[in-house]
Amino acid sequence: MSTRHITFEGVAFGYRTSHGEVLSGLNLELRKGEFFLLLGPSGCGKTTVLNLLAGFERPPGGQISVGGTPVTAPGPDRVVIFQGDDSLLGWLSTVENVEFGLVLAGVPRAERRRRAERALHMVGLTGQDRKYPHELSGGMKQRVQIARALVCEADVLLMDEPFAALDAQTRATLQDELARIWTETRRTILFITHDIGEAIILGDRIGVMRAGPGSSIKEVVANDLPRPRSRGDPAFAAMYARIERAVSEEVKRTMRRETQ
Amino acid sequence: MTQGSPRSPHPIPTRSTIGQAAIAGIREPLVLSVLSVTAGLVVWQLTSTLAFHSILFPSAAKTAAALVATIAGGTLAKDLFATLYRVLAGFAIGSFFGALCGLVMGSAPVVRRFFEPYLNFFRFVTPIAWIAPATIWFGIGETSKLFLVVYATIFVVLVNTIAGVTHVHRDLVRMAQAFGGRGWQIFVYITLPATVPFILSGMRIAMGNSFMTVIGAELLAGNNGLGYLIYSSRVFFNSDVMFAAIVVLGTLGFTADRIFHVAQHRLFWRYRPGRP
Repeated sequence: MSTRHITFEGVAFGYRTSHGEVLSGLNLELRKGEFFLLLGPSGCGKTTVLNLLAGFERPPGGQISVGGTPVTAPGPDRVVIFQGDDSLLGWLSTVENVEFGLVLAGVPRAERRRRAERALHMVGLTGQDRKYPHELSGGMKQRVQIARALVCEADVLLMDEPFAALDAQTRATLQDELARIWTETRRTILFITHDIGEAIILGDRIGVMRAGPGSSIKEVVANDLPRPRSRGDPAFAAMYARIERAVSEEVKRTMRRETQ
Repeated sequence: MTQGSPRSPHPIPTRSTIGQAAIAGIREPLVLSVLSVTAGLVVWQLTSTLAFHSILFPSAAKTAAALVATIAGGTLAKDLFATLYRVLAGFAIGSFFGALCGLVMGSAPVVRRFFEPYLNFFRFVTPIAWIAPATIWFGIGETSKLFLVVYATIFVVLVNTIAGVTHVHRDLVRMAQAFGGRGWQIFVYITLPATVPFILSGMRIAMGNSFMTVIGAELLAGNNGLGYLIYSSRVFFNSDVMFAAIVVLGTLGFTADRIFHVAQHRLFWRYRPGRP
């Protein structure tokens, strides 16, 4: 445990406009196999952090490295689960979507199918493999994305508010299942959210971001509630109150800035 | 669980449901279509016999008689196939190169910006304007007509293809990059399939353009084809033959469009336009 896996050192990002930079002097460390939640008010640059780690954008300042290697481009060691369903291939069936990363990696067909079926089973989509994305519900589409990420056995999963567009019931179910899947697979996960409850259900550690511009990590809260976690647990409520205090200060700051 | 060949589309949830829906949905519109055509023929027959001289506006019955006569005489088939050949050949060539150039221009911004002024110039110059230059360059034979139909096809397909390539969702490309996709893989697995519906809708519009252009070309320069038949009938004031040719032309275009539509749903049913 606690071997450093991902590091952000003095990362800055954004254009020096009247609104200032998006991120400045951001430092963050993720340990190998940990479930890290990044929480913050909307517009604070959470998604930017994820895009930088994914390699979609290059930081003009500071350095990001994974396993000691600086991030310079997207790579199959860091797989992304997007918020919307725009990243599913509408012309491929569920199982073909899950296999997509393996197709790019040149994995033979039979092995591809076997691994995809296993991943679909893990996310509870057994028997749905021949359906097309337009035949799936929002929750099922996000399960497909998770299966597609799991099948590649990438070390790092980057999740950008993947459950934000789902109804409350589906969201709670998927949170519980993701927690279970993570317990079984122990990938390093960076999960972005603005939902405090979601952060507590999922995260080993919860990084609260400062309000932008020039955002960075305000504090990192260790969350050692026993898994599986329950929203009815008194310790959950105490943790919620603590994190809410930290977040609401930042939300107020954002609102003050916006009304000025 | 289904373990069949992954290439063959699974029969239960996808292809057949689309097919069944099409068959179930056909019946009611079919009744309506038959009614519509019948009503049209009645109105045609009445207005032409009551309001006009039959030489100026031949009735539906007279036109039908002329149609039967030209079919029996063998001239209609000859003209019909001449026109159909020009449309199909020109349409195929124009669509192929339109899609090809569109993919290149869509993928390479430098190439796109270089050729954009020409694209936006020529797509506003109607093919009809090129009939005179084309006959000077290529004579009144097949080459000039083929040239004109290709011209009528290529820009619509080109513009649509470019739109398709440039509208591929950013998340799709990023997703493929995150899975280690290289440039050519992103083109083959993302850009190309995402552009298919755009190419097809461009081709469907282009087919209409092809029909319009070929008739123009045959009217002004040619010695066979439906356009020639319409124009040459004027000499002997065979207005009923003119109308028969127009009816054949419309029916031909309508049929071609239906075939294209059905083929699009049968062969490219995976590539639905819009979001997944």
